[in-house]
Amino acid sequence: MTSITFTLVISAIVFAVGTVGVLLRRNPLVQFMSIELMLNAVNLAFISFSGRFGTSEGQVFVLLVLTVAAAEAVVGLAIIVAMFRHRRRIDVDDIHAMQG
Amino acid sequence: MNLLISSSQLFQGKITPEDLDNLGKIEWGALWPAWVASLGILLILMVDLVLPQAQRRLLAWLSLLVAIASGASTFITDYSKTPLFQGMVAADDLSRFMAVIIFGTVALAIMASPDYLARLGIEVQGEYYALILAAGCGMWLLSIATNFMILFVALELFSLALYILVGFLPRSLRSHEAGFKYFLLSSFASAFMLYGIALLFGAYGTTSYSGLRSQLAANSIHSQNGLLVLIGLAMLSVGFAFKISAVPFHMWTPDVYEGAPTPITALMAVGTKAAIVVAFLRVFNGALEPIAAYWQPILYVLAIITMIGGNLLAMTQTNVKRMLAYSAVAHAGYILIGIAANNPSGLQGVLFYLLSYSVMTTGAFAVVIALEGPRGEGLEVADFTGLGRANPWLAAVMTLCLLSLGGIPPTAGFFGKALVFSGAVQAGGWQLILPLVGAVTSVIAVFYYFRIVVRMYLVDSLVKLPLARRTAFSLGLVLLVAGVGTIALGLLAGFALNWVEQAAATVGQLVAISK
Repeated sequence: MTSITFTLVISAIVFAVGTVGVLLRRNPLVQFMSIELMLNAVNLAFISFSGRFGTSEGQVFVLLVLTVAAAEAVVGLAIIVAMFRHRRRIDVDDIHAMQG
Repeated sequence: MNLLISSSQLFQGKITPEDLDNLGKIEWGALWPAWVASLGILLILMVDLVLPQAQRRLLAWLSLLVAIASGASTFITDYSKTPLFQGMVAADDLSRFMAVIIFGTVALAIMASPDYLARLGIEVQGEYYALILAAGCGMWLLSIATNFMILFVALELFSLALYILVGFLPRSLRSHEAGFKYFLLSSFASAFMLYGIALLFGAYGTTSYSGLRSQLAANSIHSQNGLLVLIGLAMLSVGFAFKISAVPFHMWTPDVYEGAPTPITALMAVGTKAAIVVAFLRVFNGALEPIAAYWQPILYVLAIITMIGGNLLAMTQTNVKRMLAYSAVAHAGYILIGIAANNPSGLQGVLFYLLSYSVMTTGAFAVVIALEGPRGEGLEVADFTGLGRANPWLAAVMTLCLLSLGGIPPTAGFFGKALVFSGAVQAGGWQLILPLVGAVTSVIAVFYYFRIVVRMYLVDSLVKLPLARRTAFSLGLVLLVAGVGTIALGLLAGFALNWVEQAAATVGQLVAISK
C-alpha cells in the first residue's frame, strides 16, 4: 500500500465515523464534533492528494477549511448556548417545536 | 495561469517572468458589488456605535442604500467576459444578472425588516443589517465563483451569516431551533460537498472549473481516475441537493423557513436559492459538462421526486409560511429540469425562472410579513379569511403572486415554467417525462395556492377579520415592487428574455475562453 492510499483510507474511515456520528448521536455537541471530524477527513484527503501532484493548491484549501471551521465553531456553539439557556437541556430529541 | 505556483516550482526557481506578470495583474474593478457591500458592512457597524438608540432606524435606510449601490455598481464596470483573478471568479453577463437578483432581494428583505422587527419588540440593531449584507455579498461571490476554493469560502460566508440571522429572534424557541437545525444540516452538507471537491481535486490536481473541464474532456472516465471522479461527483451532487433543498434532502427547509424571522425566510427562499442554482449551473453545466451523461440521470430522478414530493407535502400544510417552504422545495424541482436539460434553452429557462421566482416569492412572503402578529400568530391559512375585504391591496398582491407561483398564464411564473419545459423537450428522449410530471404537479400546486385565494375572497368573513394593521411604507414599497415585477415579467417577457439569453450564453463561454 502506497502512502497516499493509506492516508486516503484513513480519511475515508474518519469521514464515515463523522457521518455516522452526526446521524446517530443525540447530543448537539457530539454531532458538532462529528462534523469537525468530517472536515478533518477532508483536510487529510486534500493533503494526501496535494502530495500526489506536488502542488500547493490542496494545502491552501486545507488552510481555508481550517479557518472556516473555526468560524463555524464560534457561531455553532453560540447557537447551542442560546438554545440551552431556553430550557436547560440540549438533547436533539427535544427539538420539536416545529413538525409536519 | 494558476494563482498558486507550485512549491516545487518555487524552490527550483522555475517561475517565468510571465507568471510574475500575471500575479501583479489583479482586476479589482470586477468585484465592485462585493467591495461596496463589504465597506457598507463596516460603515453600518461603526454608525451603529455612534447613533443614539432613538435614531437607529436610520440604519435600515443606510443598509438599503448600500444594497442598492452594490447592485448598481455592477453596471459601471465593463466586464471583459473572461475569468479574472487568475481564473478564480467569472466577470460576465451572468455575474451582472446575479448581482441584480441578489442585491435586489437583499434590498427588499431590508425594506421589509424595520416594521417587522419593531412589531416583534426587537430593538433595531446594526448587526442585523450588517449580516444581511454579508449574506448578500457571499451569495453573489458564490454565483461568480469559477474555482472550488471561492465556491467554498463564499458558501460559508453567507451560511454563517444566515445561521445567526435565522436564530435572531431573542425570545423565540422556534427561531433558535431553526438556527440550530440549519447550522447542523448545512454544515453536514458542506462537509459532503467538500469531500466531493477533494476527490475531484485528487483525480486531476486542479480546483478550477476550467482546468477540471479540460481534464475531463481529455481523459476518459474509464481511465484510472474514473472512480475518484464518479465518487466525487456523487458527493458533490448530495451536497448541492441539500443546499438547493431537493427531495429527499429537503428535511431542513420547512423547519428553518418556519422558525426564521420572515424577512430572512424571504431572503433565503430567493437569494440563497438563486446563488446555489447558479453555482450549480457553473459546476455541472460548466466544469462537469464532459461527463454530463453521468450526472443527468441523477438530476432527472431528483427533479421528479422533488416536484412530486414538494407539491404533495405542501398540500397538507395549514401554516402559510410552511406551505411556502414546501412550495420552494417544489420549485427547486422545476429548476432542476432546466439544469438537467443541459442545453441553451434549458439554461435560459433556469435564469428566467430565477428572475420570476424571486419577485413572486418575495411578494408572497411580504404579505405574510404584513399579517404576522407579534408572537408569530396570523400564519394559518384560516387567518387569511376575509382579507379581500379587510385589505384589498394585500389580497390583490397575494393573489397575483400565488397565481404566478402556480404558473397561470399572463404572469411571470408561467413563462418560467414554459421555458424550462421547452428546454427538456428540446433535449428529447427520456427527458420528455420531466415536463409531463411538471405539468401534472403544477395542477396539484394550483390546488393548494387557490385554497388561500378562496379563503381571502369567497369564504364568508363573519368568522374573523384579519388584523387591519396599517402596512408600513417600506413594506408597501416591497409589495409594490413584487406585484409590478410579477406582472411586468409576464407581459414584457421579451425584454427580460434578451438579457437572460446573454447571461445564459456565458455559462458555456466561461469554460470555452479559458484554456
